[in-house]
Amino acid sequence: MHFTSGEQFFPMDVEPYVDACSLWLYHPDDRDEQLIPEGAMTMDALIEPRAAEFGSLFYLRFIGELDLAESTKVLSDASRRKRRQELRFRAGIGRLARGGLLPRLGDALFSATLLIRGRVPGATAAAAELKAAELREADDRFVYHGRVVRHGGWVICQYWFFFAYNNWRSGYHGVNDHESDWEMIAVYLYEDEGSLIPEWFAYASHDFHGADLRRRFDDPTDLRLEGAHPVVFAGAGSHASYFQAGEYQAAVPLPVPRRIEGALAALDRFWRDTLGQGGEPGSGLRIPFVDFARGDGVSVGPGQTRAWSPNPIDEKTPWVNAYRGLWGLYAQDPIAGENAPAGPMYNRDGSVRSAWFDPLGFAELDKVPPPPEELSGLEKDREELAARREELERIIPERASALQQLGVELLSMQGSAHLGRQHTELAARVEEAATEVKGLRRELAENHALTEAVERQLEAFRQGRRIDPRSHIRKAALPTLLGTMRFGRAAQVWAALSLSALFAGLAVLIIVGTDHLLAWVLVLLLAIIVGESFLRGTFVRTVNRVAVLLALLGTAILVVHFWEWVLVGALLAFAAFLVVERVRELRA
Amino acid sequence: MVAGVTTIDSGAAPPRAKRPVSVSVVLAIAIVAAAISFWHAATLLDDVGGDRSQLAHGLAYVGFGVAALAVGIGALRMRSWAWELFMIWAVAGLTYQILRHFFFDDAFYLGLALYVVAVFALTPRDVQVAFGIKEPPAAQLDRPTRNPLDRD
Repeated sequence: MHFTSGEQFFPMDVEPYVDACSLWLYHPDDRDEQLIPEGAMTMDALIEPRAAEFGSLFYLRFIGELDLAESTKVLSDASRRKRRQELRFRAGIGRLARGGLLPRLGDALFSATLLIRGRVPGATAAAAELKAAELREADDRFVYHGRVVRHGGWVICQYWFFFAYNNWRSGYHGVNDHESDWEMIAVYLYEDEGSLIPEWFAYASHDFHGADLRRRFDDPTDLRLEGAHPVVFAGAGSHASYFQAGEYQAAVPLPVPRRIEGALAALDRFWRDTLGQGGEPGSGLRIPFVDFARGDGVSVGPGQTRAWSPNPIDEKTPWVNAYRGLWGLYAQDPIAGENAPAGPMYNRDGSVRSAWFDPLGFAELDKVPPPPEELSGLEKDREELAARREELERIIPERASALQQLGVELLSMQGSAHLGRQHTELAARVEEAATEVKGLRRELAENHALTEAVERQLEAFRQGRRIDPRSHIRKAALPTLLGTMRFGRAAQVWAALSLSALFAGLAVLIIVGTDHLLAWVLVLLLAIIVGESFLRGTFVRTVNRVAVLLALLGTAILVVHFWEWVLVGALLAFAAFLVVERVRELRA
Repeated sequence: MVAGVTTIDSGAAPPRAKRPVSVSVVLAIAIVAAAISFWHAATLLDDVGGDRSQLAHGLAYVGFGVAALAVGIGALRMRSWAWELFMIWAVAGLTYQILRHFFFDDAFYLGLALYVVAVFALTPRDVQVAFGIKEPPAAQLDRPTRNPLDRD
């Protein structure tokens, strides 16, 4: 596992962390009760059975509340400690320069939401850095918590990594901070002649799910193996696991009330589909964050400077099974980003994690048999398809003939007024039978196509050819190619200052008290947008977008100002259209 | 060559992009704008005397006229710079007319309407592809169809 230079938190054993925490209970009446103070906490105390009312939540607290003097001290100490470190983090191309003005406005709003949402207090990250460093001095092992299970013919090795803190927001301008962090990768192996052979590797890459999380052992693009060991690049602060080293641009949607979500989606569709403007769906409301997984820092694993210490776990491990609370501060964040996670086995609400009880489904491997079973599976498939085909070829003519018989009967009722009820009933039966016959014919056609595909696959399998190892991937996590981002220093400075310049400009206009304030606001906004597009090299696209917006406004002005003429014009145009159509019809 | 069989000449020049109808719209607007500019310029320059300001105004109108003609010719030849220049012109013109409408109540509505028509005429993807501004789109097969042969 390769970390980014400047990473402050590394995979550790849970016991020293728990010993350094206090245990709390959040009550439904919004009251936090300390159950065990810091210094008295032990693993035994953690798993002790405790009754709690509905709506309450147990949580650990790694860092207690800090007063102003303590906050100042930890911030200063952490800063001094970082300056002494050899491996430091440098952001490089600024996050804000990677998005346009709209995402930056979204970013400002996102920062503002942190003021009203629950959040981990400001100096907590610094205090956590210092405390985690102390713990590491006492126990400098790099620990993974390993679990082995057998499901559906696969042997699954899950590697759970525990970090004392996630400082993505405070350390790397990311989305969130929270106490404690659990990450996981899984290796899926199959047995062949008494040996275990690794086939798939799944990493918990943030913002991806299902089949997109896994790569096959022979993946030519993403998977990097050192010997037989998969290489993981951990995101700085977020600790998300990636297959390739690089900087991953995560686009986080701005939290908007559900009531206006639909309206915004409709506007987005109108902008992209009707007006033909480009961009990813909903991209205007997404805020760019960067997950730095450069792999230029500490490396842990076989052949690296640091080695792993395994710590086996399973359902019977007491701290895994018996503690369902959070492993850090419950920040009362309604969108959960700043709340600590629960343990490897549980979700925050105490239910069992699907990655735990369904490790195959986690990477959508539940529908993939191990290679030795693939051949027999395909042969069984072919036999079942053949049997069903025979059945279909037998019953379709029978049902089709019965349908024709019903059709004849239905026709014979025509003209017999007294058979109205029977005719209606029979018509419904005919409809039902026709639908059934159509469905059977479709199934037969699909059966032929499926049989061909299975035959092809069988042939390829017998010849030792396998399907493309990347065919299951819908969306792959790819690092941003830094070479494609040609932002000059001016663009980066502008990205950092543009919003402030806009607001300061508005303030100046208000102070000056110009006659046509709105006109000047519009001019200021246009100047900032066009200036920005020059620096970002998107001038043509931006000018077109501005022109379309202005044209929409112009259309609204014309429609309102000349509504009578617009109405008259529309009526005359419709009348002319009808005349042309009717004349054409008459002449035909 | 076998009679009745069409052969494909691989060495033939690639087919020229079809000129969209909207090019004619832009051309017409450009010609009208150029004519108005030259007429203004002629009026101003006819009686300059010693008035330097009037001379500058007249020359500016000549410049506008030349630019409008250039845009028209460029559009006719489907040059990407003509599309870009026209969009910049439209942004400036639309902003000016919208500000006049909201704050001075004397907008030139015919001009506003022409800009609106031109912007919407030049914005569709196929027009931008023809001008070389955008790449042709990839095939999209998942669109709903109205042909019963293609439906379930």
